[in-house]
Amino acid sequence: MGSYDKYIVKPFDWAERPLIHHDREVMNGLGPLMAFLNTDMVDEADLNIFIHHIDVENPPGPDYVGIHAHDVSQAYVFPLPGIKFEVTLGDETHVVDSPATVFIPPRLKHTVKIIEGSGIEVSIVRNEKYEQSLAEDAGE
Amino acid sequence: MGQYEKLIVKPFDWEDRDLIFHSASGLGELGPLIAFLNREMVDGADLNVFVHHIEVKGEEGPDYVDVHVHDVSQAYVFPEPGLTFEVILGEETYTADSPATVFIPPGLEHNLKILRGKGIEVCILRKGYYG
Repeated sequence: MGSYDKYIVKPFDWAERPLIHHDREVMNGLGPLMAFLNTDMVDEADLNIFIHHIDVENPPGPDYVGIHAHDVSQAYVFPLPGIKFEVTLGDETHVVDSPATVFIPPRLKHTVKIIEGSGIEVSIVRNEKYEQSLAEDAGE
Repeated sequence: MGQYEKLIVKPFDWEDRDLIFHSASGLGELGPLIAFLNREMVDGADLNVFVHHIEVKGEEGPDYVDVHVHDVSQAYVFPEPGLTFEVILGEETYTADSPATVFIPPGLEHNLKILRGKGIEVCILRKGYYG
């Protein structure tokens, strides 16, 4: 065991853990949310990464996250074809087919909804813990 | 077209474009490197995201990147099972199976080699361009 093996981590199922603004039960109905990087996994991490495995059995998929904002930027990355999603940015709603990226600047209110398909979504928040990035006066 | 449509971008094949520290032929031998986010795709983006589609066809993947270092943190994310990779961190070498994440703090010399398997790697750099 060396000095740096702490930087190589295995993902784990976020399971029933809460995620602020998100309905975890509904979210899990789409598929498991896997934690790939956070400060609990790597003490020095300044990126927060989740991967949501998604399979919409009865389109359109459910609402599972309220409008919210972060103090830091975020990206939704849909790396593979096969998913249609709706993203709200400010007061605009856009429908997009994967593969695609949505970049969300700090403090821009946003939400996402999976309409149909199956695949993965990579959520990257440019900060440590997800909750620490939430903007205080954004949200409901 | 709304003011935020510019924040939604489609990926593109990096093809033969230069990528500092990397051999384009070695990268291409493994599979296409797809740009998902950088500051040229989205003005003001402070994240750089590549997705590398990988399939090792021989006994072992090629060497395609020199040991190098960044001034910001980076993460290699392997979302699915199916890949075995070797990562150098400082003077230490590790072999790991996907799914896995490698976090690389600023200033730590590193390197990556795909040993075998098939899948994708998501490479995230905490600034808007690769360098």
